[in-house]
Amino acid sequence: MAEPAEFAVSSDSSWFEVRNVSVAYGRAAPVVRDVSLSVHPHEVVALIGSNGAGKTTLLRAISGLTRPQSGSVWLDGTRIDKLASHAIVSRGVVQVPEGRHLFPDMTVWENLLLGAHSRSDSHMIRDEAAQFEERFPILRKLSGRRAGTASGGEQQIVALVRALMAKPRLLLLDEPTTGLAPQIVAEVAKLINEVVVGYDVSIVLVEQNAKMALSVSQRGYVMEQGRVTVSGLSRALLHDDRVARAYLAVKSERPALPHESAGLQDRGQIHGSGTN
Amino acid sequence: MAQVLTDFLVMGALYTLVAIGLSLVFSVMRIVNFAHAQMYMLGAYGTYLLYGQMRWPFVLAVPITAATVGAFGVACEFVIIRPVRQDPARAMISTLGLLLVLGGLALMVFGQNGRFAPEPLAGTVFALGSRIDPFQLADAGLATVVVGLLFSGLHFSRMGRALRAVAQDELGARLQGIDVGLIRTTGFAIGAALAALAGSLIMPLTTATPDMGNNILLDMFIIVVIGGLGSIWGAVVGAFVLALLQTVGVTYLGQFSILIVYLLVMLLLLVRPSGVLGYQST
Repeated sequence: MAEPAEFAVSSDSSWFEVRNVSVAYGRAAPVVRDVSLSVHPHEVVALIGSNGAGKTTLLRAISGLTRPQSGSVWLDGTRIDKLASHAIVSRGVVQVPEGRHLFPDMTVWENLLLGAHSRSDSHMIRDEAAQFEERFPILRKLSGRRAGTASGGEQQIVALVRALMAKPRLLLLDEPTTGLAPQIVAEVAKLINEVVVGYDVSIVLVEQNAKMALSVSQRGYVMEQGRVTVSGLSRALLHDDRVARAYLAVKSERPALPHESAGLQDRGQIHGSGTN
Repeated sequence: MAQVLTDFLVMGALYTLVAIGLSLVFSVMRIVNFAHAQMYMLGAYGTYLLYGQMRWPFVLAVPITAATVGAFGVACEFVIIRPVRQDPARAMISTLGLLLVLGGLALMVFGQNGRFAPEPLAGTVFALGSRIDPFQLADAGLATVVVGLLFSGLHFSRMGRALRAVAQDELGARLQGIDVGLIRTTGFAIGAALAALAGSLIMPLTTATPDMGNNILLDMFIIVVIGGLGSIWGAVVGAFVLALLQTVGVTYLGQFSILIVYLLVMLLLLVRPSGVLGYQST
């Protein structure tokens, strides 16, 4: 396994920090091993790696869905890894999970309102949802429709705005572009940039689409078999030989899975190394 | 004719309350609560004590009984279901145990004999050329109002939306900051209170017995097989279909109508196991 490589990462005290976190399911071998990462305010941090590298598990641990075996998670000087998942959300750490997990039989409007469930200033919520509908016309079109009937790209936008309704400080995005057509991937990437500027959030972006993730982020971490093996500035990672070979290479070691092909096939040069 | 119709309305409305409660608990907990039937029995005995014995006004005895059974439901959820919730099969067996224990306790406390209480609204009303019991009409009306309130609560309140969110996507609900444990307990309490309300409302029309829970158990499952588990409208449809066959059907077709109930259940299990409007696992 490669030694962690550092590319001029600033070392001032971190606003959000994962310290030496390991996660295991039951008595099985840990899925996440001794992972540390940090996020600064208004920063987009990419977390890339192949399927089964432990990215989603790490996000689950941050959101309080799975308890870390060891290590800690800190937000703004407060330890949050012992909190219940709803308490973590009300502190502003909000996850958009892979597959979006919208409430399929509720309207898009109701989904947006549910995004604000953790907030106490409930009189503001309807106004804000209406503002989002103005900003994203697609939402106004979908507003009264059942969320389950929207297309994948539309659902991704709904999920992202639903998360923004919680007034997050840190957004955890798990595979937001999986299964989306290439032009929609580009739209989501654009949206991620807008969100950081417009809504005062930081983002941890988990992606198999490494090129997209590294191009919208400032820094990146590469996870392999549960460990962070490479980290640094995204610009540098894009040109790092090991990263390029493993995650940006032209030739695929395995055929793309059906759910990946829509988003990745046309781009042609991105694949996971397929350890699991 | 009018009497058969009011019987149908009352039975349908009260079955609806019981079935919606069962569906609600299933939606948020993903377990079938066998002890639900005993919440109905507890409602009847509670009203017997408060209204029949202590002579409280009926309109006071009913909501207090329902609320008390709801609170009892919270205790049951904490003590009996929560510790084994990870394993749905064990949780369901636990509720089956609770069904037996509560039935046995009722037998010990109240004995085998039925307990009576007089109807709160005396007299008769003439409509459609025949006599109608006004209490039955009031019963059906009250149950309808409660179902309406529940429906609007589920759709237009923050808590109601959270309940539906947990029912539709538990992980999604957690990630919106919903306290899923709290929602489960709330759902269980509302479900228990609805069953108790049905037991309360029917008490003056029948007798409270220790096996009235067991007696409604089968009906309860027939309703959710017809309408589908986890759907409110399914519960309404199932409740009124069963009530129709048990009242109007029995009057005009005789006991053959009961056979139709079971044939319908068999047919539905064959062609549409999730019920007419039921939850379909994906």
